[in-house]
Amino acid sequence: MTGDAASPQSRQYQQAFIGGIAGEVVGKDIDDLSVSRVAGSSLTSGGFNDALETIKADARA
Amino acid sequence: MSAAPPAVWEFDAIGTRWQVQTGDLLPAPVRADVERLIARFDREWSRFRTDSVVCALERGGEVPAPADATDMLDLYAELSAATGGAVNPLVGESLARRGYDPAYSLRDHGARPAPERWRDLLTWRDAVLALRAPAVIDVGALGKGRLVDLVTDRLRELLPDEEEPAALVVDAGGDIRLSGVTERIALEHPYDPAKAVGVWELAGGALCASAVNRRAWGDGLHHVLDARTGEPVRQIAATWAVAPTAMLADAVATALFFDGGPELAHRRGTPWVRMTTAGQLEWSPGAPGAGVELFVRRSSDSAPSDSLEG
Repeated sequence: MTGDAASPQSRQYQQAFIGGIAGEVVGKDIDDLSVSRVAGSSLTSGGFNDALETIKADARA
Repeated sequence: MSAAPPAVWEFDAIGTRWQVQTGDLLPAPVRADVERLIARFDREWSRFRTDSVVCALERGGEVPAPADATDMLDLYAELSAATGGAVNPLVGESLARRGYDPAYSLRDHGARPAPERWRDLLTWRDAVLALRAPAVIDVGALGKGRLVDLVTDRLRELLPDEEEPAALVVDAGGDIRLSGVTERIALEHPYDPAKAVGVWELAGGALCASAVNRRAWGDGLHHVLDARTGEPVRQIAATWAVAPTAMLADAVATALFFDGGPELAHRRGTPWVRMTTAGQLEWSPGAPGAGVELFVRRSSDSAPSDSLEG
């Protein structure tokens, strides 16, 4: 089914599993929200961050 | 609830920042036990260390199946079928070639599809994990969720037994499982980490997030690849899913990057939210009733029939 997602029938079928769509996200500052934690992409640690810094430094050199 | 602030234990493991929150400070032997559990899982499943079980299998062969093999790979089979092969546990080499390798070279050597007929190559039965050809296992679609569940279950065994479930939050850098506590969790905007696109209030179970903004490098490369092509996904920027276990929430959050993800989520009764790279927010029919508040201007509600709600 994945390959023909563009076909109208497939589109319609898949949209049956989607409850809503909003074209405009109005983000709010996390500092202003009463929340206890944040869920996003996994925080990176140690090795990956160092590697990213290295390729950035190489790009500048 | 006691007025005392919760105790928080923070550490780095499996490449991310962990935070374990409990009512009382965890005794050192309990922490050591959890550290051993994480080390064991990492030694079995991490393709980022040369002494792991999955690295030992890279040239093919067979090994005694690690304890989590069946639960994880059964769910991978379901994910793969639901996404038409976009999710595949043999995607490790494809990721490494894009630069997401054990040395974090972040150097792109081009797109390579993962082995399409992976079910013929990788088997897990009779307590044996076998690989019939060279390939690199990568359980990134759900492995971190599984480990969050293992840590949660172990802590619930080890924490003092009381009438009420002890307050416990296990948060592995954004993959979160709760028990005995209600949390309001911001859904981080994938393009502006200071902002949230919504808040999910949860009284138990797991919320897992996946997004392409942090593990990203080079020319539009990131860690969510379509295994059929070896190319990074381009349509979806971030996903969030809620389920009883973190493994299922993590798996559905991964599937939501692809066609077929919403149908899988429906079948599993898993509410979700996702954001497209064009900035649209989409959500499941069940999400509004499952504690999520979204910060959107409702321009066009497609709002199909609610009868499908799981």
